[in-house]
Amino acid sequence: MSKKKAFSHEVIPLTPPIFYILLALATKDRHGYDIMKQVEHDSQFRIILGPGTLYGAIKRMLENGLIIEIETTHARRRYYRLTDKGKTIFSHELERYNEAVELAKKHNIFILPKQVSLAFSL
Amino acid sequence: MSKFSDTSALTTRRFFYKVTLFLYPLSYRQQFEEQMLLLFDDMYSEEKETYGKARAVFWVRIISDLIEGAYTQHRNCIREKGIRKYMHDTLHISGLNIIGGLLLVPFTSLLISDAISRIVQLDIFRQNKSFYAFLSHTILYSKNMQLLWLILVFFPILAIVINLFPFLLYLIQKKKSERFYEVILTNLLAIGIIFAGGLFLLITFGHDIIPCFFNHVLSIGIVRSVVFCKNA
Repeated sequence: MSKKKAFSHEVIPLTPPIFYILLALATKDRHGYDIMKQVEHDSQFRIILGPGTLYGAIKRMLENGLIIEIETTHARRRYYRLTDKGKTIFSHELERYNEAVELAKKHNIFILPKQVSLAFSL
Repeated sequence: MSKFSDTSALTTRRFFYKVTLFLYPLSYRQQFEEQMLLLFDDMYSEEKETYGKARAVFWVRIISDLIEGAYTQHRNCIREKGIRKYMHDTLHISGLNIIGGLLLVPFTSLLISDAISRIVQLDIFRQNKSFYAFLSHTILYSKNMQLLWLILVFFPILAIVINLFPFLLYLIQKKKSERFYEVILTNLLAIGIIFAGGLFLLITFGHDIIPCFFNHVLSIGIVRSVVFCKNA
């Protein structure tokens, strides 16, 4: 299984960019630039989206019913909102991450990055 | 709170970014072009505010995003529509364009071979006699050079005709709202084939006259040059 599709949902593969976009929209409705900045912040600049990659992901999410476009007072900017289906899929994804972390903790294999670098330096 | 520019002024950079968006399929552009342009404006404004100018890193990011995004959208189009419908609807390549292009391949091959032969002899202004001596013994020059005339004259004319009529029909039937550059981009291949065919015919019939004309036009004028070179 490829790294990007590690936690794929049967409806749509939740690649890291899509995951972070859903995370950004989980808190409030946003337009493109706002989504882009929130994704950069949440991913600690590991995910950098441009217009092409952002709207490519938005197109896919619109087609799969994870988000919708909403009417606003702003004439030109389009805002997006998470749908109930999007919220459900995102919640399932978070649950899966949580289960994976709990499993790793249970088997004592969950170690912090600082401990990893110390271990390798010995 | 994000600071973003709401200006719709068509700056030079915005115009060039808008042109690059033509790499994307039409259906995608119709849906997201305006939003992508607004986002580009915001990104540029932020870059300028933070660093005083748009760094090379910024443009590298924009270009790599453009290539990745366009590739993904075209790949998705092929998956959804299949290759034939994709070529017709998205790339605007019809069967007639392909036939026209194929008809110009022999002439193009001859031109490229001639160019290479001239480069090899280190003199691009004179024909390579060895190359033409070789050609004269091939099928091209057999039977009164019928095949050569097909390649040099008939094929380019046919390529022009089978692309010109559909293009003219398109111009007659097009929507009035369609802008000039959209017409050009939708029919780019047809226009290219018509232009190339015309150029090839000019080369065929004018390859002696044209250099002669340019050699004499300044000394004896346009009309006399044309008369002189036609009779030469």
